[in-house]
Amino acid sequence: MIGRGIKEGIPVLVGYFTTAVAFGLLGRNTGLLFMETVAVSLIVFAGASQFIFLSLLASGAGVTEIVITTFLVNLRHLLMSSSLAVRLERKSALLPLAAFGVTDETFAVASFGSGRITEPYMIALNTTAYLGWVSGTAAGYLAGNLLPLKLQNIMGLLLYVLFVAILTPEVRKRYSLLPVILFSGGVNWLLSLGGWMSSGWNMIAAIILGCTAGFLMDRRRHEEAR
Amino acid sequence: MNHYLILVLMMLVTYIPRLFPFLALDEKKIPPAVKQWLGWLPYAALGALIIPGGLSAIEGPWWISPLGLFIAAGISWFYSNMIVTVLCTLAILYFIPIG
Repeated sequence: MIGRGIKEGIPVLVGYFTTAVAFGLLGRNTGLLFMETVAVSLIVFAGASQFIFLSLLASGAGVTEIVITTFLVNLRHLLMSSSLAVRLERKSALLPLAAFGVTDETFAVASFGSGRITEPYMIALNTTAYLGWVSGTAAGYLAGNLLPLKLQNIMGLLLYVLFVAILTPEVRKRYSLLPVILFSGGVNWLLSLGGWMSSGWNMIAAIILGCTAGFLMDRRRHEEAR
Repeated sequence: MNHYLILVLMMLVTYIPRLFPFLALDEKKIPPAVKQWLGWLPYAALGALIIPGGLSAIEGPWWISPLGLFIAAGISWFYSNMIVTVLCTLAILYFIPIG
């Protein structure tokens, strides 16, 4: 169980390390101390919101603004944890530890992983990802500026590449997934073009509508089959 | 305000939504319809995570990020190994001139 968690966590570790290098570098450029920058990754461990934190800090935002934005940006994990919770086998005292490391990427890997979801599996997977994130932050702060600019730029796509790499084999097995994926992405895109809500709410709305679309599609197919 | 205090507050508002569903949802008591709905969550979530954020993740011409994702989809269609996909996509993009 632990071995499988580590094995499936390696690609996330690689992706996280490189993305966190960018974060560490940015933390340094924002004027944070080394320990402060590493502490963000160590304590918060939530990619997008950490980058937003730096830009808010740089723009002189207040504590309330930072905390509320972080909450909204990360609220989508409520949905992801719910999805994992209904698949989790047996709960124990380890649960708080397993829940700490739920991120977009560890959630994606666990959801599409090769087997059952248990606490030891989740903790092994999340810890592997966590190590990449924290060590990448430290490395980025100390040496990120040594990387060629072009590579730093391209690395911005890395986590999205990881998401695509997770989804494509699923779509290949089941073409009917694609409309739901594109629908939820399209809703998110439209909402962000509209600019009515913050990006955190946009994503939550898109996920909820996407799930509902998939659910209705299932229903219809079910009725047609009868 | 002390940066570390902000971090602790950020951690709390991030951690509580991560933990709450595990404590509140009992696998055996969830109605099948809700389970079915949640079954779509990974796909809907990844769709919203990739689009539109991933379409403009690289600074440069508008087509470079979509091209990168397309290359990644192409590679992972044939090799479902994530590391291979990530490294190959990165290498290919590195050699495309984007000014």
